[in-house]
Amino acid sequence: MRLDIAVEKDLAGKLGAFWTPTILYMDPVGERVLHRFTGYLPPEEFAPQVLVGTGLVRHQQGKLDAARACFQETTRKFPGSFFASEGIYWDGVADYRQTGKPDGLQAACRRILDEYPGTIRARKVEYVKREQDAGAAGKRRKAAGG
Amino acid sequence: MIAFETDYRTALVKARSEEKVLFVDFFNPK
Repeated sequence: MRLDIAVEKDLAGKLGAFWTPTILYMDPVGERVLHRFTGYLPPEEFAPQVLVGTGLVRHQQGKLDAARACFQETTRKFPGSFFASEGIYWDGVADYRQTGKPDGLQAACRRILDEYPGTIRARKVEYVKREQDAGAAGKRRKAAGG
Repeated sequence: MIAFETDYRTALVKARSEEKVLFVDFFNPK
């Protein structure tokens, strides 16, 4: 649905849409915003952004198979997109939620570092890895009496 | 998904009846 922000000013304010374009994914009763993004993107980035967004909404709804299909499609169809690394990451998260095992998510993080260095997701993965490594080293020192 | 409705209330009624996610695009025509 497309709404002119000037005409639907009250609704835009209520939903926190203060800049255009603002894209909202809302629940069927129009009460809850499930996901949002703001700003123009070229078509080759917009399509994967919508796919990842759809996957995140499905994830929230507990539809993990449907969510993973969106994430995997993002990476398969748009491997050169900024959102490809997001697709890999969230597919790993969904795998973790489905299996309770971290292997899939860890593999996803390794793949992001290998194939998508320099992306914001790679920065996040690097940070978490660094913190985890520092925590593990601290535990080893403590166990060794240091 | 519902696309290209320009009236929020109409889209809401459709989304409710079909239990679809409502996809809302606020745009500036200027």
